[in-house]
Amino acid sequence: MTSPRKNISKQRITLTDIFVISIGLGVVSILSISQWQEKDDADIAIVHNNLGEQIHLSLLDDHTHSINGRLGESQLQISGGKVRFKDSPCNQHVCMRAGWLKESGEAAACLPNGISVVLHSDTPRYDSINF
Amino acid sequence: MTASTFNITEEDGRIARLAALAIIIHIAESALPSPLPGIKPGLANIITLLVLFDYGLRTAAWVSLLRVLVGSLLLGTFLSPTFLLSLAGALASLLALAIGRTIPGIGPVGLAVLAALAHMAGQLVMAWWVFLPHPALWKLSPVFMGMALVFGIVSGIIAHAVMQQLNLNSESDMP
Repeated sequence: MTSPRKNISKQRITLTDIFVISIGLGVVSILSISQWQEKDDADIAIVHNNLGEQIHLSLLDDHTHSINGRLGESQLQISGGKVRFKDSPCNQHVCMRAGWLKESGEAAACLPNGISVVLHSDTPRYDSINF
Repeated sequence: MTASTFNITEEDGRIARLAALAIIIHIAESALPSPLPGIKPGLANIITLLVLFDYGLRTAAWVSLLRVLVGSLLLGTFLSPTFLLSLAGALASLLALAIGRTIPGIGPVGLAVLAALAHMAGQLVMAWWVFLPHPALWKLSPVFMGMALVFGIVSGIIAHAVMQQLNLNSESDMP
């Protein structure tokens, strides 16, 4: 019986091998991208006021929403799937300094005015995010 | 009562010897620590690869499946989850070898990579199907498949080196 091993080239890695390895690298890359790239942008902002009332704002259409609180009117700006406190009648403006909220679970609140915003998506990645 | 007789062919003996070799490597490897369950070099597959090149797919399948069976008996994992994963991996990699060896110009490294990736994929599918139908399993798949790729290349290079050595020996035996 002639051994097919004799036909093995002295070459350690053939061109075909490199091709196979490249395909393997491709598979691993595709897996990494598809499995590890987290896209968890929120769909809606849930806003509470000082009376415990709750409204849902869609993040899809850009607009500025005014909501009345204990001290006066807070303005929530929605733009490009993000939301922020644009203006609020409080002294410290902690809510405004929270900046833009984008991911589901992110939250900002204006305690003096009694207004809070929590972002929500259908596939939440975190239950909540605190800083 | 007639005494039953076994005809032990030359091929039987060869399969037994090669399987024994693969089992030894399998057992030795099981003693190596591993950062994640399921990640190990798979050096026993080098034997499968060598057998495939020298004696064909049938013998390679025998050696590979005997290795899984006897290895699990010796390690005490027979019919346990580990055994099922091992079996799924072995079957998948045999399938990959059967298909892969028809690719023109493929060498030991390419075949080892194909076998290693198929082995890992087979294990992942089995793990998903039987034990852990949770998306977190696929989150780990890039790590598992990446390691399989690396270990496949290493196994292939070792297999190639062994083949070269065996060729040298057989050439010096037969002037």
